[in-house]
Amino acid sequence: MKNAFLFAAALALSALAACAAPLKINGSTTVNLPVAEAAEILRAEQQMDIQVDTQGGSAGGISMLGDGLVQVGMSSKPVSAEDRARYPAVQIQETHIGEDAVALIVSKDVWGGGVKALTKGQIKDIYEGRITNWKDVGGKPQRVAFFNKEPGRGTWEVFVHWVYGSPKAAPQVSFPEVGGNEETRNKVAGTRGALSQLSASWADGKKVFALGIQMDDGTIVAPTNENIATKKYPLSRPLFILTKGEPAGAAKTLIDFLLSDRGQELVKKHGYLRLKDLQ
Amino acid sequence: MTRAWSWFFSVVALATLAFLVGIFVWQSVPVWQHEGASYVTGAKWFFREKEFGALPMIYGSVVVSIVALVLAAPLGVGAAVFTAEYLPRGPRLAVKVLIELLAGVPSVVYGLLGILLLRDWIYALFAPFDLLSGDTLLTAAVLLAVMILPTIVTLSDDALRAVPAAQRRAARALGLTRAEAILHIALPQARRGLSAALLLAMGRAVGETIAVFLVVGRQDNNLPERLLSLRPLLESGQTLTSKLGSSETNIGYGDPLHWAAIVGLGLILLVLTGALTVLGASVRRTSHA
Amino acid sequence: MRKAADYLVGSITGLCALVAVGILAGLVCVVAQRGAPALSWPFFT
Repeated sequence: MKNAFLFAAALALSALAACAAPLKINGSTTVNLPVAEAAEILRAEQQMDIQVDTQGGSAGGISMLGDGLVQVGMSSKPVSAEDRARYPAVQIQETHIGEDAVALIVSKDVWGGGVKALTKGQIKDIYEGRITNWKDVGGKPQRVAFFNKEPGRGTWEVFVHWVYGSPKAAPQVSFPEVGGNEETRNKVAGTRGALSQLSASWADGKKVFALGIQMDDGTIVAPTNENIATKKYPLSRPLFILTKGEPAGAAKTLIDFLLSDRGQELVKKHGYLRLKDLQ
Repeated sequence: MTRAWSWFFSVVALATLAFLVGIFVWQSVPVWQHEGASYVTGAKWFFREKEFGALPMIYGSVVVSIVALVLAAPLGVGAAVFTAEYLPRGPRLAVKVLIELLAGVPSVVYGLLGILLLRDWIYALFAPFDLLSGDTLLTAAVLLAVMILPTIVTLSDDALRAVPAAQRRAARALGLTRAEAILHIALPQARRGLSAALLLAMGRAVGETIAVFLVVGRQDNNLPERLLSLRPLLESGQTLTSKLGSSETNIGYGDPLHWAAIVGLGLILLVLTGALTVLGASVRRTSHA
Repeated sequence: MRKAADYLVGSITGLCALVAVGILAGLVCVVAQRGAPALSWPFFT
């Protein structure tokens, strides 16, 4: 009887210890790149126990933080009023660690066929199904294979914010969907006539190509770092680390690291803009 | 005493099942009130406009599973006939064990292989039909066919072995060739077990999420006008499971109506797979030589 | 004629078994070749 009690006590204690330890992080695949590397460094240098995941993108990061399943969320879009209203007991704090842009990427055959930029009007027409062939925008005849980002993804929200003003104003469409950045790039690279939304730093110019935006005056703005920093390129979005209230403990250590020079170098390394790069 | 205990545990099992189904029904009430019957007959799913029609997804699930069965059944039953009737004891057990091991491969692996290989193959193979992409209902169906193949082979083999050897010996004694004994004696008598095998395999196909999610394209509202045409197979689609595996479950969590719609999909899936499983189990129980 | 049918059934089912085992074993080979790290969930979602 005594042995059983000791065993149960030992089990409970170890379970408690296991629960207390790891710092759990979840959210956007875009923000994940520098954060995952920062976590690696902190694991090696400070023996911290950090688990990073990308379930559900930015929306997943917000909801898991609100539900208390993770201590830190990653988001490539600002936390909206609705999100805050869903979790009234949680005060979600955003910490800005960098900036990224959303590019419209196309497959090699479209880029090679001569389509290097689109106007907002053309993009709207494609999204609403009025343009279905690349020849209507100056390319070779090929059906437009538009892969829409899952709604809820930071990338998608930046896109509809720019085209329609808000996610609510965007019409409901029925396109094939893609999830995270990796899946998007793979699908666009492997499909003829493909178009989708992708974090600008993931458009490597080898498998997928980032279109420029043709503004009203005819100039073409490409998603280069200068254009993003000076806000000439309209589709930019902030990279946030989310915490419940003020960051504390392991979360604070991570955030301090990301805001330090070393951490910001990681942000830059993965193609995003550091805080000091922004005007 | 044991009778009392077995009654007790049977009740517990049934109560748990009833509880599970009950929760799904209860949580999905808002969408049944909102849509009524058009929840299962409506062809448009636009959650932001509060329009929830699950028919394209039911269509997707059913088509993908049926095509998977059509592809896997002849191959699987043929293979089972070979292992049950032609192989001697040793090799038969080896093949059986091998196939059953492969049945245990996690579905994620199938899905990822589907992305790596199957998608490009189908895209290239059907290029003359001007596919939009390699993510189609057919891709999902082929992937599912490979996944349910082990199930069909193992269960069909069991069904054929359940036919007593005496029957086959009698057939041979009467001068029938081996093939005739199989086709006219063994297969007809194993009919029930074979049907059970196919029903259970279809149940597995209907419930498969991850593999289908990765290759089906996840395009909503792609219900064709002519339900029995083959063209939709070459287009992207959505199944009940791929919708449930998508990010909409996360998005819908905050809104009672949207959440009810999602849970409702789960309920439909539960009923579908439950019906197939129960059918398969009851057909199996009544099978005898 | 009946003997021919006998051989036919035997070889067709044998082929089925071969193809079935081949497909499934081929899966295992591909996984072994490409290596598990390349097949990771975050890689694809």
